[in-house]
Amino acid sequence: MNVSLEPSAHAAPERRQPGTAAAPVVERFAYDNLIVRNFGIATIIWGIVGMLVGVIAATQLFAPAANLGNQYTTFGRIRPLHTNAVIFAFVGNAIFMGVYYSLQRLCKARMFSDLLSKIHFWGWQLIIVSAALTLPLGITTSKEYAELEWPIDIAITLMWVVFGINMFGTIIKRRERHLYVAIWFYIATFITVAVLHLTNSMEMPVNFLKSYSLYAGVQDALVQWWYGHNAVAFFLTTPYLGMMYYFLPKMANRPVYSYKLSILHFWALIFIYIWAGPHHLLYSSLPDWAQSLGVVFSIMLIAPSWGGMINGLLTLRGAWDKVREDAILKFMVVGLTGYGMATFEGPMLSLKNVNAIAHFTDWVVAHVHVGALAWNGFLTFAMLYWLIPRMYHTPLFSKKLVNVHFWIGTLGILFYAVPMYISGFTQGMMWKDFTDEGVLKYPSFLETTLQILPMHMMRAAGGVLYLTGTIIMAYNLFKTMAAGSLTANEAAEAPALEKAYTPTGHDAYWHRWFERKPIPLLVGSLVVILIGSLIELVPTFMVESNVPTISTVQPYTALEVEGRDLYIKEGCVSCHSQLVRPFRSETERYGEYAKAGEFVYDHPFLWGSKRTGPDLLREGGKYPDSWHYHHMREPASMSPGSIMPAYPWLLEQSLSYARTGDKLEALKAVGVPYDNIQIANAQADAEAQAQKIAANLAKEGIKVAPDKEIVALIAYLQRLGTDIKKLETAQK
Amino acid sequence: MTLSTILLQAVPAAAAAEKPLLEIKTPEDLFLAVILCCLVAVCAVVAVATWSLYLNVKKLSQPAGAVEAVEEPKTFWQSLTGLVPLAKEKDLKMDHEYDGIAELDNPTPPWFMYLFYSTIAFAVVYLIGYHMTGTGKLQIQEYTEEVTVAEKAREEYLAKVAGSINENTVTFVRETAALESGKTLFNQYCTACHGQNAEGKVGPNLTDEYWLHGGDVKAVFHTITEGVPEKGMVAWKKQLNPLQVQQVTSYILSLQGSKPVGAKEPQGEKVDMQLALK
Repeated sequence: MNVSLEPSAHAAPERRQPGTAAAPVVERFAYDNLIVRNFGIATIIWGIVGMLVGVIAATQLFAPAANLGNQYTTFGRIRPLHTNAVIFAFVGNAIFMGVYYSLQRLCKARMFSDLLSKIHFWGWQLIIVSAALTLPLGITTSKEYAELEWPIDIAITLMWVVFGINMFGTIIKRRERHLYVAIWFYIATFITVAVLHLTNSMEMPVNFLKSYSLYAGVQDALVQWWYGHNAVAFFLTTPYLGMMYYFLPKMANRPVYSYKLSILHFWALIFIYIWAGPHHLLYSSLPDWAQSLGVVFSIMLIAPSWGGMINGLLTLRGAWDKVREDAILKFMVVGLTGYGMATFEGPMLSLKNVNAIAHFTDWVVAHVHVGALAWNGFLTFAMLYWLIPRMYHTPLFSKKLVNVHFWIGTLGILFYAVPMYISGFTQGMMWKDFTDEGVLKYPSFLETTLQILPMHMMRAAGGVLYLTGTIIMAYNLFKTMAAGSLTANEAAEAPALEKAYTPTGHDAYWHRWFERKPIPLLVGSLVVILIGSLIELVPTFMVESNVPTISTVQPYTALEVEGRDLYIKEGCVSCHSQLVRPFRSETERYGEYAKAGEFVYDHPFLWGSKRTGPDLLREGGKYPDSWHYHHMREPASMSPGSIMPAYPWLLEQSLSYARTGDKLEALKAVGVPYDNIQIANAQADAEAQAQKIAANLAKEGIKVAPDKEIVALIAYLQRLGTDIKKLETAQK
Repeated sequence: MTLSTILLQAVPAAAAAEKPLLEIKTPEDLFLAVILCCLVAVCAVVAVATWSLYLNVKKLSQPAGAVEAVEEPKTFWQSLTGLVPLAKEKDLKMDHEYDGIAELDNPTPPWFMYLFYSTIAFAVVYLIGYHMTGTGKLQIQEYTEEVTVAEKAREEYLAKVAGSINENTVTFVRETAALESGKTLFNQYCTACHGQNAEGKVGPNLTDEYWLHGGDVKAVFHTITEGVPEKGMVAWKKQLNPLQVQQVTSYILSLQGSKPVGAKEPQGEKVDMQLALK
């Protein structure tokens, strides 16, 4: 490390007590800007990629042919690619950019290790590339925002550890005694994401690219949404709040409004947020008590999350004239406002009567996009516009283009969100509408889908606007970089910390102790987030009555397991739920509502989070095998006007049952009661069942070899929800 | 064996003989346990708050070194927002800076605190209402009531419009209006399986004299109402009322001998339609 020690030749450092004898020793060092720049460029590139994939996916929702008839670009497979690219590639890289820049300066120290920084950067990009390769190939665990298969999960864990060591190393060797609020948020982010990722990624590998979730059904759903919701909390929110606390006062050149508010909302936010996950599972077969906790903690979350917004907006008090002129501050203001709107809407959506309309519709899609496009997107753009000229010592290439980007981006958000709100509300109400005769007004699900297509077109247009803005930014920033030159190592100096320290005056305030002690701060954050996690997760695993068993529910046959894996591979879960909620409108439309005991062998659960097509929980036996065959070959032939893409490759691709036994073995290891005979005969059983289905299809004039993928998928679809019907028959 | 039973068995034998202090068997037990934990936590918070209040009061009761400045009474708006005039901001600046960022010692905005307290109050009332007093309806209860009310309304409505049409009393109707209405319903619900002109696709051809489940009015009415689940024919009784089923039945039977293009081969038994439609 190139640190030189010498007595200060400069003016006395800040806050030197009068009368102290020895002059403090000033150390010279350099901030690492190169790593910040690299993460910045990665942010721009992956941002454009992620948004572009989003536009393609949005287009397929009204023009399924936009997949070009190709299995690798079909909605089910690129939808997770879009979410992963935006969350982990675009926002992820932006987080690292912002943290690596601000942490060094707030700690008055260079990053702990240049090597770790490098490993972190390239490791993260490698993970993104592997995600971009595996997801279109259909290699997925199907768990939302955690689709990546187990080897990549392990790589993520390793990279997170590298990031943690680098961060804590920097904090330990800091030259600033107290940790600024931004760093509290970084620390809470680090520890919580680690806990979330490890718990949710528990899976039993079958081979290098296939695994089954350790949890089943209701438990899997709870763990997944505890993870999913807190990925929003601790990946998309807390690091951004931290960065807001650094960059906003810097950009506006204003003091932070309230130190006390920072303390209050930090602890309240991380404590309360972790409880809110079950609000994604309202009216599901999750026990009522867990649902209620999800509701009330979401409501209690309004104030703590607004704490960040008002501290930011009030920081701008006295600087609103600057906002008028400075497009970067405009980005910040719209970002904060978007955050405030999304964090008000979230709790409202978790009220059961609102959720009953909004869940499974575009309303939720609108909600997440207000958060992502405004809060994460606009804050990221503001940081990039502020950082790049500073690190390159040159003014922005064009201030006008920044303004253009701001307006086109804002319009993009509006064009995206407003139609989605209308669409979600429309569809939610149509699903529930009954005629005077007491029957569903729109019995054909497709009718409700076709109704909202114009809104989907507008949403795609909004996406194009937003993407255009981002491309304009990329052009502007790359031009700026070309005009200046990067100061890779920015010289800085600060006195080292003295070992002995007796807090006096304001530093004696109780919270100042935490701010001097990073490890207790880390442990404190951990304890605070574990309370809610344990109270919600542990009982669901322990208490038997939470998952009443149903005697007729049996494990899937070997062929059905293969079919289920195809269902997962094609991303059917992106559009079809498998969860009939206890509403009259749903039991009329689909059949008996979902019971917890039905899902005990579902590794992973497949309840879905959005219905573009109808629910499939009771699909088994509703239509003949041939219907499914034709429906997959050419959906419009069975459902005129359908926007489901055709899946011709399922009719052509062959499936080998050689590894079916391994799959059953892995499922047995996570608790599905297969016996050794079933495992040994897996291949033969699968082939026998496939023969039967092929024969059945042949009877209806469809010639298909029994080893085609379609046969296994039909086997699975025809099994869905049939076990519980057996119970009804038995009871009669 | 579940973890909870293991845990309970881990209690020493003597204690296990008696009823454990807290036996968690049902979600309700667990919920009570959670509430209990929350109450303990609330008590702790109250204790800490009381202590800090005591410290503050003690500080106030000590003789002040200087005479405090007389403050002007605050307006309602001021006491809600808690904003200090910008000119006084420098007095609020705290004595630390981070990379040039200073922090102000503004209080948390009062309206913000009121919002926070009210959401906490909402949470407590909500949990008590749904899980202790039972005033809030849990989802299955809510569902049962919803269905009961709808069933009753539906029966009343049917009695009014469909009168006494059922499997035994149904007749073949020839009025144009009824057949038109039957055609609309057929196009909406039946064409996916039976084709645009009832020529048969996945489902059988309905225009010939061959029938799988009977071809007279009563049989067709029964097939439509109850469905043939094992063959993929949906039971329509929940979507269509008896009057509508009569209309669809009549429309289908009116298509006899229409010989549509691409008609599917005959399936089932030949029925004498002359006789059946009498």
